[in-house]
Amino acid sequence: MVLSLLFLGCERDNVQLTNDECYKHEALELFLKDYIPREDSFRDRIVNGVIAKNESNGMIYDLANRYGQPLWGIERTATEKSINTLLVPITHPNSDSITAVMMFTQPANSDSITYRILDNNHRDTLVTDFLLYCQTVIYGRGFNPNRTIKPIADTKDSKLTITGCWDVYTGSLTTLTYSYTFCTYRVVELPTLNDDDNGGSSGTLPGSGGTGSDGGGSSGGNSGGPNTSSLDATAKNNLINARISLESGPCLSKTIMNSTWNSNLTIGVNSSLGSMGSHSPGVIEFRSATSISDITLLHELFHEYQNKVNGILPVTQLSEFEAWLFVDLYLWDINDESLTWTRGLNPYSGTVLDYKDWIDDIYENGFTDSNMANYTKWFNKFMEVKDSAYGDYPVGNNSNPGAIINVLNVCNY
Amino acid sequence: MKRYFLNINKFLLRILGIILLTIIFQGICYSQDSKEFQVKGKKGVLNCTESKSKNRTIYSNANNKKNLSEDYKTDDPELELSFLGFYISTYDSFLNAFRKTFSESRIEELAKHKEKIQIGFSLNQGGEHLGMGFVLNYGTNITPDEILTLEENLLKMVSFIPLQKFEYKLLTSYSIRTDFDEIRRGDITRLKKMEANQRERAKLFVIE
Repeated sequence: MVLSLLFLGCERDNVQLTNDECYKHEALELFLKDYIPREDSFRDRIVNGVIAKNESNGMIYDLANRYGQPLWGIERTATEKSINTLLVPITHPNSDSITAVMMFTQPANSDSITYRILDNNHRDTLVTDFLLYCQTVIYGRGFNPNRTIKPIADTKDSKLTITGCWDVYTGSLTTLTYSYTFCTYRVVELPTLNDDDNGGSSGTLPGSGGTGSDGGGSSGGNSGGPNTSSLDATAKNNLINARISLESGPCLSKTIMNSTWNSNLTIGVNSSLGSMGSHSPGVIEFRSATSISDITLLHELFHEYQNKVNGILPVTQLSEFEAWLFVDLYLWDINDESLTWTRGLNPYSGTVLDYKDWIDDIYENGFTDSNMANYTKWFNKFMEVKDSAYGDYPVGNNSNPGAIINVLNVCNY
Repeated sequence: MKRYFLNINKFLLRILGIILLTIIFQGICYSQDSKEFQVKGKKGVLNCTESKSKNRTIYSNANNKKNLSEDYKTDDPELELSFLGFYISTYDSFLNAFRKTFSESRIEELAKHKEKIQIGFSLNQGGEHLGMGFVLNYGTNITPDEILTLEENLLKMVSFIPLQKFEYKLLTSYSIRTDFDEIRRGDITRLKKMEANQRERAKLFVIE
């Protein structure tokens, strides 16, 4: 009830206003109090957009009443990945605490500006941490009283866990030895840029042309990433975690992610699939949510990568072998000895041991004349194991693992 | 002139003979590079395959079930890709199985000999032991009885916990490689990393 406390009288230019009109008018003044036009064109467009939107829904009154006065003078703008962002803190007048931050974003080649109000009651710890950061930068101290942590209802469908791990080495500088792996976790809310559940705290502004519709905004809020609109919450969770694993993994998986993730893929679940995963150009399907992991995703994305390197060609036994081999190199890179297609073989047989030696050789030296000489031998072994699955596929003409070689070159392996 | 020609011919024949014998000898050596035999210990019989050129000796219990793959056939070509694998009950349990099998001085001795060991476990999707094998240096100092005792202790002390309840029948495996210097120091780097990865994976994916 900021406004009712602040503005007791309400007479403007000898015109008596109703209480309602008066509050709206004062709210607009408060909203613009710190705003100096023509300093920043993006900011001008935002302010004009908000005022236009205010005509229809009175958002400025709500904003001022709930949060107070925007501090336009200490806004922050940023442009990343062609997305313009403007952050404006809001404070109660005569207070030394910020109450919220307004975030405006405008993707490249779009007139639509999305806004969100980030406040301290947000469930996402990233948001509240960000507010604490703004508060400290602006006022030189944290919130008073300090932020408290409250248990929240289970929101598993919209949470994800971000993990960061470090290998800890101990000893003297010259003889450091690996000691243990230390990991930290952050549980954050999934981004829902256009959510409507916060009572007017988010939405879109009219475009500069003034005729934009309120219904704009990309579904799923995942611009550039795969279309995953058909996935349920479990599948989305697993897909996001698989993506994080691969993006935070070694160069091998990062390279595949960088090359394929933002190429208009569609990822879905199809329970009638005959295998755990399948790929056709631009489309990846999994049999169920639980069959989505870093390994399965990497295998299917590698097929997409093969198409990028070789052009779209029919699937062959050789292209399958290359995809399985690539996943084995990835596993070897992350110290996982459970290589893929040999898992069902006797793990202490000469075949499995020799295969691991071969993988290690490629991992250490890249493809050389000597290990390439055994490529056909291992392809034949692979087909002995996978004959029932891939026996009907054409063998293929290209026994050169061009896609893997590409990745190894990128990664300087 | 003719005599001279014949002499050259004899000389050539001798060289060809030597080359031929060398090739045959090498062929024999190569075919004998990998040798299979059985060794008996107090607690059982081990199958053994050794290869000098690959510097390895593979031991496995003669009682291990053969042709396991027959029981685990699947039509799904990518079934194993969606299996997230295992982590072992505790990292220490693996070390303790070694410490129960080998005395401290014996571990020191084997570390001095630069003995390496790789253990392969055949498991099903639930983590049930189906077989175990040991890969050691060629000409290893480790005795068959020590291997059989280690196998016994590993079976008792180490269990494998699958990351997910996998609803399909699957034959799979878990491998650990180390050397006796790491065992002496109680620090098996690769195993630690592998276990850390698996525990991460268990937290990341919804697997019910």
